[in-house]
Amino acid sequence: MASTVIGAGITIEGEVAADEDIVVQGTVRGKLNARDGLVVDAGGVVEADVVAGPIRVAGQVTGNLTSTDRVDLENGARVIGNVKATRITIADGAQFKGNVDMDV
Amino acid sequence: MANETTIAAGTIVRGSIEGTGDLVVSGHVEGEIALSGDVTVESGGLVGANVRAGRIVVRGAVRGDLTAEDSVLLEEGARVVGDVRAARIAIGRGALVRGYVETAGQAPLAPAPRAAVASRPAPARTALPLPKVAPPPARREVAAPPPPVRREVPAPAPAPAKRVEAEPTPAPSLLAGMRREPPAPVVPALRKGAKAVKKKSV
Repeated sequence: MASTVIGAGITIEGEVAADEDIVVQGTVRGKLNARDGLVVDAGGVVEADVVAGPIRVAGQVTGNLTSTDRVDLENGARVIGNVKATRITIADGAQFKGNVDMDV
Repeated sequence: MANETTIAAGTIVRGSIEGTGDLVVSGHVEGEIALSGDVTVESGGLVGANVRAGRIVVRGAVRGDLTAEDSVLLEEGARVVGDVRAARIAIGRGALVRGYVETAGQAPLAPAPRAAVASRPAPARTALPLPKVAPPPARREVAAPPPPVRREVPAPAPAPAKRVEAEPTPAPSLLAGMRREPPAPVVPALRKGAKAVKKKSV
């Protein structure tokens, strides 16, 4: 099935839980839960605690990121919160403030 | 993809979804949906929320009120429990609805029928006063008779048109022809209202 897309111009306040990928181009406040991957595109805003598979952030996230796989903060990303994942990459140009916890 | 939001099957949203753009729900939404664009609930989609949008298309299940500025289309497979309000509402074959349905809405189509009804009587009013040459009293007289006309002949639309054509001839004679005895009260009403006064005054 096609993944869930939160389009630009859309604001969701509350809880989002998905079995597949979630792509955020708009705004989500509350709680984000994806069994599969999460992508926060440039322009996307997440103000929520996130639990997901692989997470890729090019937009703005305020909240804790917890991934069962990996977290990639790309150029232009702006993240405030703690990140917990097995693997983490922070690209040059990404802004980040918070603790990093990698399963060692 | 520009401004389209998709809630895929297997995705659950609890809370409010609002903003601009379109929304397609194949998953599950509970809370509230308020969008300026189109909202489509696909078959398999489940919405437990009041929905306000420009246009709403339902092929899945909705429990909540549907309010659209433009139109609500309930297509095959739609199951709706709640009130439906829009300027235009289409309920297709195979769609199930339980609730209050109102097409009045706010949009362009609601005023249209009213305007049409108003415009039909209007010519009659203008036609009547001309032969009488007494505008203000004529309007009062005409204003009184039309309601009975509508009551007498509600179903056939052409009826008012025929009367409009016939009415240019002096109204009192027509009324007299229709009801031989009643005309007496009608005529005095005319004289009392304006004719007598105006003739005297003018």
